[in-house]
Amino acid sequence: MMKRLEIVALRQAGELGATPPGTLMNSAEDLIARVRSGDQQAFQLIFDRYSRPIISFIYDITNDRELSEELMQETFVRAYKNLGTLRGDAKLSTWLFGIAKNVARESFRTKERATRNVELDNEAVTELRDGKLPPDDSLINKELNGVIRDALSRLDDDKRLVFALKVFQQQSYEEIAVITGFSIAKLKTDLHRARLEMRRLVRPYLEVSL
Amino acid sequence: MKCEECLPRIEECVDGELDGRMMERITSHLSTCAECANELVRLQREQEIYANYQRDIEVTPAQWHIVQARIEQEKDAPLHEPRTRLRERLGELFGARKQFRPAFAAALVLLVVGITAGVIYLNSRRQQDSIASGPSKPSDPNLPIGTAGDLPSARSNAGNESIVEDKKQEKNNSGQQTPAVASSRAGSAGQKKNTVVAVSSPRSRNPLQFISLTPGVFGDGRARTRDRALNFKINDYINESSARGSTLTPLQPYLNFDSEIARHADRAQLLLRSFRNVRLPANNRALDVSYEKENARKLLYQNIALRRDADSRGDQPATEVLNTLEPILLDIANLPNRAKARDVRSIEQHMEKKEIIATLQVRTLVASN
Repeated sequence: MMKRLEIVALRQAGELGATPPGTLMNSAEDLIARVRSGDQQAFQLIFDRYSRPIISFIYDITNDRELSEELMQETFVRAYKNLGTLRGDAKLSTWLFGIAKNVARESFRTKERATRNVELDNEAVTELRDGKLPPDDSLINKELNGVIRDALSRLDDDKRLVFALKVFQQQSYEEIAVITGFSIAKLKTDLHRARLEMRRLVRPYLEVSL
Repeated sequence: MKCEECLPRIEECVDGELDGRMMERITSHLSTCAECANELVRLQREQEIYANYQRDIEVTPAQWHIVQARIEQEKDAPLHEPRTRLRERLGELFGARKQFRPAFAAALVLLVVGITAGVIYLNSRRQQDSIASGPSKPSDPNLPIGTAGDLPSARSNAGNESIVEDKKQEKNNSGQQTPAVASSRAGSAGQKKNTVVAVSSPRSRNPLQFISLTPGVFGDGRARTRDRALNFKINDYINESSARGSTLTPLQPYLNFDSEIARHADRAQLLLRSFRNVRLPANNRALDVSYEKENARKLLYQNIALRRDADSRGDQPATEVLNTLEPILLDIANLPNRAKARDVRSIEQHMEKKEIIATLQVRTLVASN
């Protein structure tokens, strides 16, 4: 659901090529220009459009709800402060994801990796290992979400970053290269390995859910 | 196309990263190869599962209000001019004078050298004036006159001093307008109370070394001059830090004192939350807290400045919050880069006891409303 909303949000932002002609009033470029001229309402529109994908992305790489909220706020404050430095040819969403990645990385430096590891007594994981799968669909979905989240947190930083940007945020390889600073070759390798690892961790659910 | 060639491309196919020609080749191979077709189906199924992934996190309107409040605080700082525009302007500037480029460049260099020399000269004059203007005679003849040796740290570390006055002294001097005046009065009364001077150097490895001084040995005028000079140094330090991109702000003037306090409380809150969330190793091993330490040091300087200002404004609630925060920041700033778990735990317990994070949160919310 959230994924669909994100895609709708990106379409509204005019970045998926779905903006009909003549509706440039609230295009990303127009909003940037308005913010630069001091229109804060335009920045609120930017926030409304991008806050959901940005907070999802940060949550994917931090796996910490409170922290994600704080870092999302920090991302937008920084974006506002530095909007003047956004180059004309840069895509707003790519730029925002780049800021979010930097903000999250900075916060990582203060934290130990151990906090993001899955505990062995994690309910979802133990149940998965026992092969006990709840019959109810909503429970399966809820648990599947937990399993995906935990599997994601087991990836190393680079793989998680690339996986989240490609699979969840639908960014192109070129955009991911801009956001992360990785070469296309590296990000392809990371993405492939991340997919294999995710498949291994989520496989039992993939077989049951479909 | 063979399977060895096709399989590595299937992911790119699912990701929509293949060009039309390659896509056609892959499609024609998939129509004849069950193994590769199965791989494609598997990837598409996974994609579908990931597309339905729901996170237990939402964006609430309150979050926009927080962002808005923080932006309001930042509004005083002007938006950066786009780099491209700046580059274009520079390009125009040089481009328009193609035929005079060497002469123009030489003139520009001379101008820059001239300005730099002027600034250096003015700075050295100002420093000389500040030393020369120190009265050689104390205004109160009953008090002993301090010698140059009375201020070893202040002189040897010129340019990098700041004062953290003893809280007891502040209590005794409550109601006075500025710390400088407070120190002067303490001096004139002949009280020998300890003043803690934090000698900080941006280059030094240990930025905070606390040295005890006795202000009472100075005459009134000398004490005031010394304090003024040291306060000037604090401002200098903070201004330099701001110029380097630090989050510190100059002591005077505050454009909006309340928002400055709220901003400071917000930053302190983030730092303390981050510090509290550090997972302690079980066997009391050392823990890397260098980032928190550095942040605490920056916030400490600002805290001192704000506390003084709050005190002089008679803002009792703000003074109390900053007074509670200061020793905690000091403790974190004084931790070694690799702190022992028990030291970190002790600070966390102190934070918990003082309920400082909640207090700061309330302060931020009150100010933003």
